[in-house]
Amino acid sequence: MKTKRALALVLVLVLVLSMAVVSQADETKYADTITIGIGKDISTLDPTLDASQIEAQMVFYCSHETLTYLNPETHKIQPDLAESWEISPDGLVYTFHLKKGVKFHNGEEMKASDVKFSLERARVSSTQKSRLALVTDITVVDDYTIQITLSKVFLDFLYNLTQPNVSIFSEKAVNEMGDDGEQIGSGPYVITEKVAGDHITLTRFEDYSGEKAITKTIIFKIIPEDATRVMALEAGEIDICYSPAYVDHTYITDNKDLELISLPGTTTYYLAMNTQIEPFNNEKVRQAIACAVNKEDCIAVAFGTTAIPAESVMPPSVPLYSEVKGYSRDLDKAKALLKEAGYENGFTMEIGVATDVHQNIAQVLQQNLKEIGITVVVQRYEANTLKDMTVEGTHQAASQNYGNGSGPDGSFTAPFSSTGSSNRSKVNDPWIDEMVVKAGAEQDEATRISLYKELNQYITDKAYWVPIAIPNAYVGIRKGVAGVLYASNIRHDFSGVYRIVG
Amino acid sequence: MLRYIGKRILMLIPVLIGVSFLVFFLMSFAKGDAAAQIAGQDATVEEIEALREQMGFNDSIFVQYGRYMGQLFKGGLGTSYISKRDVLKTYLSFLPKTVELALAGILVALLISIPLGILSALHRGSIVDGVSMVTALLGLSMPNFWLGLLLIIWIALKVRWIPTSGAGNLAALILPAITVGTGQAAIITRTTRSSMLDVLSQDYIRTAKAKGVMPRQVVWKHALKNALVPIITVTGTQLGATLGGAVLTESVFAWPGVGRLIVDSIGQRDTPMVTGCLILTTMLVSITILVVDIIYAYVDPKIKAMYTK
Repeated sequence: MKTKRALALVLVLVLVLSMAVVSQADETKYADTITIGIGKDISTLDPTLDASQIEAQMVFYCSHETLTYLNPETHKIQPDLAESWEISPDGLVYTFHLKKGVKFHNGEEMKASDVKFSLERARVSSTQKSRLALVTDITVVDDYTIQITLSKVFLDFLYNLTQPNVSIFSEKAVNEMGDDGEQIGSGPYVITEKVAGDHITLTRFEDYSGEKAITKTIIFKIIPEDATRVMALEAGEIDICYSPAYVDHTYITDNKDLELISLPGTTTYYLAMNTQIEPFNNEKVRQAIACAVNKEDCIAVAFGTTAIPAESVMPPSVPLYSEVKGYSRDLDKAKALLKEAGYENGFTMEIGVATDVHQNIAQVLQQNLKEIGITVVVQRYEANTLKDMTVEGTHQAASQNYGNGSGPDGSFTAPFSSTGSSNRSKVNDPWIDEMVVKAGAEQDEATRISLYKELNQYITDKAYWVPIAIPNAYVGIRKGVAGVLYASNIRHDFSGVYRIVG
Repeated sequence: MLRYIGKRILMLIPVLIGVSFLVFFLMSFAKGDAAAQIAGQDATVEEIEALREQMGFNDSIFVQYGRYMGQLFKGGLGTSYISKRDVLKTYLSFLPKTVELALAGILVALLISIPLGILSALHRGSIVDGVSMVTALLGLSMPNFWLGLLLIIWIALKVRWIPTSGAGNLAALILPAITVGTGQAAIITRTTRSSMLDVLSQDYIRTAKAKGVMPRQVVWKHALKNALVPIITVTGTQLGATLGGAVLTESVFAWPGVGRLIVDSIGQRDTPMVTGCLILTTMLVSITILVVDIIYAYVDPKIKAMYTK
């Protein structure tokens, strides 16, 4: 009897142990903490106070949610806090139906009143109000339904709502804590610590309304110097290196523990020319310059293999893009155009630059334009000084870059409409002003696509910009890091990041 | 003595007013203002202009300065244009790390320069002297950020417990301190050497040697103590300089110090932050120099007598 009992005990023990072993083998181990190295300090974590800083927006993707979400992989708009929505036939009234049971980090449930509160704050914020400029009214219909009325039809409005700075936060938190209450969002992570100049810590939100995050803690570590940031990745001190400099890419690709992620970008590097002064007010002069530029050389010098030539003023990765034809290098055509414009003997011009990359581009342009008789002086300025010059129109030409972070309108209104905020060529063209409004209001998507194509072709033909390159977006990661939604506009969504360790 | 200290502190007030005036006006010469920064990338020209008007940037610089001084006397260095946070609080949050780096840097500098300077003085004209001087010069000539990056590559990437950047633990202080210290070592070494040479040629040193005092005692007890005053002076000024922030080192090592704070604020045209930080830095540096002067009094009785006259 004793032996039988002993045998039974041993068998049970073996069974239990083997089950434990099996379950251990099934259970994947994940890293508790993921550290992301970023290059700039974040001045504020209050969404409506922040001036759309890229690094802050990446934090908001983890800590907050918006009504609509722009999927970086499909470039399509998805429901987020708004489960569904209808647009009135006249295109002016949007009715959003909100998800039920969404919890904020302070335990409160998200209601339509919180949405109204958050959006009203964004409307009066000096940094964010342009996104909601067309909103005339926000009405709470019931706890889970909200109506937003616009002053005119603007289809990119849904793209504006995907911006992390118009995230929804808890009204109660702001009433209790003041401005910093805006940090209480509904996202999968809670902002738990901010050490100025050093790091920001986010901790997993256990009551998240969606799928609970895998990683317990995310740390955004601030390492401004590019080389140091890559070395931190090599040393294993960070798991993800945001935007490693092109010169450091080999350290990542040669390292068997690291991986370099690359994707097409949405930033266009271009030559801006002040079209309000001579000779750039002459279309043929601009076109001549466009035909003289050697884009491949510019890329080789400034970007190596990390950029593609820009054909037009709208990058292919922007939603609703369709292909248009730009100018290619043709010195004979360039010289002929200059002659037609009355500048057969060329002229002297200044190209303002504010960074090393722009300086490299400008120096290639200097060589290119010399071949058609134009003498270029490359002048380096401090960043804000050059920016002010281009805003005030006291520049001649400048090597610039422009990133479109959202919908198709972003590629046209800001840089090319006469009142645009990024109009570095000082364009004043009534046809463009009319067209951007028309395209922005077009409700049929197919028509909208063709309108933007027309706009793109027109602006490219008129050479208001000389588009040069679209650099790829890069991220350096430790092998095994996954769950990141990498975005062409370099505002990556790290809210689902994880790393398998066992 | 106390009267002397009191007088020195009172003298600080006109200095600080002068600094605030200078900084404010220098900032106004830089093209642009914070309006474009605050309004963000997507703001229209009208919105930026409206903000500019609202924040009073269109007023004459004298009016703006008057407003600033008015608010200063009401008690407060104001708030940042960009982050809206209290200037004093922000500065104080960055200060501990700055002080840490400055003290560690000067410690490294002293550890290098005192022995090197004494060695050079004792073996004046020899190869040892030449090598020491060249080494010191090397430390001064090497650009901070270059040395910093080299140290990260050679040491941090190979030695696991030394981090490549950040201010997390004490080990993180080592490489930045070396970077800061080697730059400062050159001048302290040269000062040590020349001061020691000066003292070593004095009669009382000859007397000590004649009396049969041990050579080591001659150097450390008799010579060095008397050579200290110029060394303390130069150490004090070097320390004062890094208390204002070591921008390049802080950038390379992602060290969250005041230097980076000030430079970033200048780039953003955040005048209250820049002015406030520089006023506070001036105070800190002045107090450091005052402390150095008081130390003289305890090192050299003649100087103490001068203060208490």
